[in-house]
Amino acid sequence: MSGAVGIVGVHQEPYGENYSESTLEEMVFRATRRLLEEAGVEREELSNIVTASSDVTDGRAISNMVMAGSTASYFKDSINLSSASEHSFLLAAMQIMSGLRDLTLAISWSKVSESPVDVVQRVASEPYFTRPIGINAMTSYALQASAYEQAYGPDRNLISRVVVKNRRNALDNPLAHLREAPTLEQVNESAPLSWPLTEYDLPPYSDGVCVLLLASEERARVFDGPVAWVRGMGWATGGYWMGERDLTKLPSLEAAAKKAYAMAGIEDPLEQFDAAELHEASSYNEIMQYEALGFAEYGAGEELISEGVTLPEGKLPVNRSGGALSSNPAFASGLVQVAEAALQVTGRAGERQVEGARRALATAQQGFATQGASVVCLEGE
Amino acid sequence: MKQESLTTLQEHWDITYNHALGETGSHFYNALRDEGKILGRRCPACERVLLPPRPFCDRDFVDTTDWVEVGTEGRVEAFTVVFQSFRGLPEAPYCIAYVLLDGADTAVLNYVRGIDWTPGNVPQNIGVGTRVKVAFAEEREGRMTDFWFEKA
Amino acid sequence: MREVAIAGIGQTKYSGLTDQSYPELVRAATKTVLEDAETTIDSVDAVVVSMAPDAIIGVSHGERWIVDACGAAGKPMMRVHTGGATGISAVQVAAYHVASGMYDTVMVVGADRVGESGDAQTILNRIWDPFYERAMPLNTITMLAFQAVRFMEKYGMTEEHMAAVSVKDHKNGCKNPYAHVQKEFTVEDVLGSRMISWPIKLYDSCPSSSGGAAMILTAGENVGRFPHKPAYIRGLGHASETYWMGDRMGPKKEVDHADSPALTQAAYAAYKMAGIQDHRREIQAWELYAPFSNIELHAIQDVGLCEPDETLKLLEDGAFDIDGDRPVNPSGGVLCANPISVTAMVRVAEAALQVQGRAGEHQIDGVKTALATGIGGDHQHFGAVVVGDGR
Repeated sequence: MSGAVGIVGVHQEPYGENYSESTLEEMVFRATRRLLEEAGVEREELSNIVTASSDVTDGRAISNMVMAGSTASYFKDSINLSSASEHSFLLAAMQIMSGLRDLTLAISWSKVSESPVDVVQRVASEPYFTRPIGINAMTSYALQASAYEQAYGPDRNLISRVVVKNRRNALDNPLAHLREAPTLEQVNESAPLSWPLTEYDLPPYSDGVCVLLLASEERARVFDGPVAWVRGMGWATGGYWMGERDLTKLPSLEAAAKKAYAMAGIEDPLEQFDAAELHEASSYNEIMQYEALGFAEYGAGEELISEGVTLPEGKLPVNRSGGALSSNPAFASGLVQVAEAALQVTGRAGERQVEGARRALATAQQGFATQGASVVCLEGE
Repeated sequence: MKQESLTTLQEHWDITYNHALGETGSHFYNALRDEGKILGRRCPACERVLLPPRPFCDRDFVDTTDWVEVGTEGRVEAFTVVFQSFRGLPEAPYCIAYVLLDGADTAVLNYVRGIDWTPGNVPQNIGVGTRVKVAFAEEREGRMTDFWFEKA
Repeated sequence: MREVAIAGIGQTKYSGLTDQSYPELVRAATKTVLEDAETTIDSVDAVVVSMAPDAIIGVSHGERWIVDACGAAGKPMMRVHTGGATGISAVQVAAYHVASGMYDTVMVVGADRVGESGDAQTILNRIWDPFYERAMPLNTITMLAFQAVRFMEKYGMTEEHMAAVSVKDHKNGCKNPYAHVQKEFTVEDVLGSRMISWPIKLYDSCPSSSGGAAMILTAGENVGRFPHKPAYIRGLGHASETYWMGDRMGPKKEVDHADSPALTQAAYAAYKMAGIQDHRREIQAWELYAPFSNIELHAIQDVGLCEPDETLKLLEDGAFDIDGDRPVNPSGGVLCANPISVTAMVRVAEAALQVQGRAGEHQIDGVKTALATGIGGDHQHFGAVVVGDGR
């Protein structure tokens, strides 16, 4: 890898149900402004900005257009990606690695409360074959969970304990959207929304903004605070058609992890990482990620739950922030995982801090049933 | 072999958005609807009066601070007369213009009404610098279409 | 920085109507670029999708739909979207993939099927802020008619000047086998064409095109593996202006909607990175994004091809003709084909073809360096790429 890249600033607004008191533009402006203030950076010092946005979520056909003012892009190099929120981070990192940019904002947002999420998701399916069936995030992840269920027959109690773990973790995260933890019984007894997934197995929809500031090694040295160094990153997409994919596995996440681990020199992730923030699209999906990430063999992911490995006091606490099951600013969620991993390795995670966390992993997923995925490996100082 | 006919599939997106207007937008529209006033916001750094009003200034990247009522006359800064109708947009011809209202530092877009247009008479009837005045709808509902411009 | 070379260029013929679905157009672009580079998808390490408003093709996040069509399955894929600038932003994103050392060979690919939605200008009205401006019939034509009016006021441009640009570009387009419009017009034809949004007439305007384009970028050390004389990406620039067009007017404006200082900023950043000191001498071909004739004139002066007070005179003298001393849009430019999602990528592709000497009938002799630009948003996001024959 060329130049080293560090995360020197993270700002998230509290995730919530409905930011009805402000426009999307204000929401993003405030978050960006606060990050610059907290980092002690003037807008003029930024080399560039990378945003990631979803037009249909925003109800704006070129969403980085009106948003340019909010993202500090006035007379700046500002490129927008629409494939995934964490791609803004990945591009920003590549720009710095190339030596062509040195102080870059990565910004993503979602104000899902302004539109019908279900309809917004459905127009992301192609019109000829799948849209008439009504595929959305919920049904696609239910198909995935169902395939896993059929293949491995996991213990439902252990699936439910993923929910209980993440929602309890969120009690320590003042930014989390859902801050009430259900009991195991409540999760077990909740009615299926799309079998085998129940309301508790699926993330809520949250409004939110996430902003990261990335710097070259040279620029990062100027900042007083601790730096989260990017040691590895990878991303991959799978084919569009769910019928062609092995839904019992997460091949795009595996491919992303392979690349990121090779860059970061990770051979035994369970041993080498101190914390992980996984973008779990469902409770089942978190278990499946354990397997794709090499924490466990296929079908054995649930053992990490039964043995308490991923609990806050376990060997590799997963989703100490509460994860997507507690806060899910839809499109922006992937970047949130990177932000939370950065907070962990810089010791800035407050009540949700994993003690002594030095290396952390973040994942993200997008599309129907994990079509695409990203992995980022961070290390503190 | 018989030539097979290729078909199309008609699809319609039907998504309703409820965009929050925020404090700034809400106050602007309430004042427009209830008092027939056009209000701008002043940036404390560059001191421009921004119209339409925004909660922050993109140039200085700071919150705007004060409300300023602007005048109801102004100067055309840019205009066009549209002669082609587009689906979902109004019947042509019509004129829209960016007008710098007296007391504002940025131009605001609205219709210029009261002129019969042909492609040949455009430059005789309007230009950059033409003075216009604001006309308000009698029944206002808190929308940009509550007002428009007419030649002063 | 690690050297980034252009190893392959693929374009489909642009047209108005097509029976091909959107993924089929993407597939066609992919096949064409792989054939041009004499390689297979296996040699491509990562894919960058160039896709502007997806409402135009009717599938939100349509990049996920076309993964199979472009062969990205199992590979890293990113989609770029900066409105009309998307194509040139996408080339830059692909260049960063290589320059960073993350990947060696990257394909940037896209297509558009503007006919898919009969409501293109309705969709393009939805790019404006929903609070104040969308209630007005703004679209990409009216916003640039405002530019024309201000440019007339500031620099004395006439409708005849606009027509002269259109005549020049359409003449060039007849030499480009991929151009959608391949028809010559006279100044009288343009002036007599239907008025769309004063002063923009039908023949001052780009067509609504369908078609696809793709490029393969590779690390400088790999150029020997590919068949053509390499063209290198030597300079990158990108800059954005305020969204608010009304802020580009009045005495306290920092920029004038007649001009685009952000285009100047992007172009000069690209010159600087390329080590160009005298761009008028060192660059021999200019592919400037201009969907309406008036836009080409401001782009010419904003990239510093001449002084602002010279533009109209040089146009009259034929300096921007294909055989002039500052040839602009030898391909026919956007006026002859506008497949929105890839239009700005095609500017880079055409610049590279000139540098490689592969532009066929519209080849300009002795091009060593060329500039490509793109414009997106409400005349707001600007990208510039310098392509050169040496490192």
